[in-house]
Amino acid sequence: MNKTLILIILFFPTFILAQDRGLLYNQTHNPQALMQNPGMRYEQTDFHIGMPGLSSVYASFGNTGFTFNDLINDNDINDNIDGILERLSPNGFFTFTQSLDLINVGWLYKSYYFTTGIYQELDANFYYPRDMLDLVFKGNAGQNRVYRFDDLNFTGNLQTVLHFGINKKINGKLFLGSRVKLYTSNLNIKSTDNSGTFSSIYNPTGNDALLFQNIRRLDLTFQSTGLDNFDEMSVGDAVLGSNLGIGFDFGMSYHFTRQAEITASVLDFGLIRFNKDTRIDRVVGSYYYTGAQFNFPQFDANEDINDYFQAVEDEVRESIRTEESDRAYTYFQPIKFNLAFSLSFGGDKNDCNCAYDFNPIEGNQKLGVQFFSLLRPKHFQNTLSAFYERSFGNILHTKIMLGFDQFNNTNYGLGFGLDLKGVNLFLNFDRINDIENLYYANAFSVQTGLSFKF
Amino acid sequence: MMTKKILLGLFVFSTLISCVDDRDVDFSGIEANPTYEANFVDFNFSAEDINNGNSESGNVYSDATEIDFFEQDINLDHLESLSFQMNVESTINSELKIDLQFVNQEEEIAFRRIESTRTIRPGYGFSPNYEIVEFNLTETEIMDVIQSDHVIISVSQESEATNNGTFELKSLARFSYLYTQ
Repeated sequence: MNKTLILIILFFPTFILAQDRGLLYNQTHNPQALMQNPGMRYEQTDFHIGMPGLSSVYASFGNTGFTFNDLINDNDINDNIDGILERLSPNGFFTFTQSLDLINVGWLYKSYYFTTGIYQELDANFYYPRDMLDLVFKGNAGQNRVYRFDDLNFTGNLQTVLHFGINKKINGKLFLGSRVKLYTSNLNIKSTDNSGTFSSIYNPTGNDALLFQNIRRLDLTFQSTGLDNFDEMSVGDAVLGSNLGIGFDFGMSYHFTRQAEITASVLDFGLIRFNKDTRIDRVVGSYYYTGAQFNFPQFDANEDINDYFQAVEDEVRESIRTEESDRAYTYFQPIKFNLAFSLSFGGDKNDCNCAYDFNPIEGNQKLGVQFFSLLRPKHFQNTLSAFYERSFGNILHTKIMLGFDQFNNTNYGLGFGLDLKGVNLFLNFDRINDIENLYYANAFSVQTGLSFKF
Repeated sequence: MMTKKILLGLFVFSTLISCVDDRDVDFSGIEANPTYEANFVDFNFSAEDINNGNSESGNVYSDATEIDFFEQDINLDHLESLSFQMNVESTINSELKIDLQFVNQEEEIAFRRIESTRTIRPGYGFSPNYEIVEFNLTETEIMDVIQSDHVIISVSQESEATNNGTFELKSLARFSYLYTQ
């Protein structure tokens, strides 16, 4: 089963980045864009259906710590690893996301546009535990320092999501939308609430041992679902999980004028309650290690020899407790926020004072800014972008983005949408700074999809 | 015609993207070479204690502990170097010998190290004497030590004396490991 599941997971994520799908956001001709903002001013076709399994394929990665080229180049790989470890920031992280739309359907009913479907998603985020890596690669000898355990922080979740959304035209200016999601999952790992320190500090002239060594207020928790029985897991079990959760998306679009539009959405405001096939491991305690303290028993008085290190081991076991349970735990979805402002211009003018109508409001071009934020366990993953859109004859839609985020100081994105005779095909590439050689990329994402509109 | 151009453009663009160069990707040379250090054995006593001794022979102060935890796979497979550091502070006004013995299950001495306290300021008598002794073990000695069952540390002086002062020893062990891919 392992290989099958891994192939399924790895088949589509050709490349990876950072969860924001800014190029798809507010593409009003594309029904898939409703997944980024259920309140988008969608053109509201009578009906749309995505190509099963191909209506949206998305993969992204982001790595603030290093690029593949930093690791593998003409220099000695161990020197490269040393350099990477030196440069890792305390909140440096690696993240990857992959999603695959299995079914996506939408239909117009009165002034409502309903959507429903199923998609599969894999999301993982891993903070580099800088102190722990130092301990593994360098050891504590000669370091004379304190190591923190709270750097240890990671999440991973494979889920299938069933969703149902409503998009409503309130009036010519305002669209609102929402979506309810049922999350199902059988595979999850989470370790986000860790704390404690390990100290190893020289104490050559004090009363205690040469090294002041202690583990202080250690509290590590590892939560997982499905790992113990991973080998027995079938593909069906992996795709459609038995742990359930619920979530919501909200969105809106508002035109101040015929040219000026503001849009916003909140996605994945939800959680999964894991209560089947779960395992929670917890390590808690404090311990002060001084080595073996010889006390020279009086052999002539038949005193026993002490097994000092066995006593140390016993003390450690008493002081640092490990607990294992199959209790339930909660996984909060990485909630996402989108906010954008745009101005339309160009193309045919619409100078009438008539009521605001459907697409297009005015102009075949847009200039705007958009902000994306995703809540990770230790930080907000933010992207601020400026964009320019242009449509050619309502057939080809293009979008160019210039953004700033944690991965690249500046990054570029390029999106294409083809809308021809009811066939909607799109292809978006974000963070393409190093597209000519992805070994140099800190981040990259790609999304494509095919839908039919009627 | 326009549609064909658009599709052709998309195809060309998509074939140009996601390139990587053809470098050799080889992780086989990865090494990790951490060195860990930990407190080992500490003790202290007064001149009166060693004058009486804690065994029949007197003037010898001795203790032992099991160290079978040394014989673990991680040490057998990856331990590259092993060293000990002893910090000794003695105000006892006579020379003391420190005898460190690693003994195997057959009660054979697998590794032994003898050190002695010395006056460091001749002419000033036995003023506070602080010494740091470090020693690295050879590859053979490492194998002998990690397969030892227990360690005995004895401190002795030549003969019974009416001396005074205190003795303190602190020590630590350093382990260097080598992991290779």
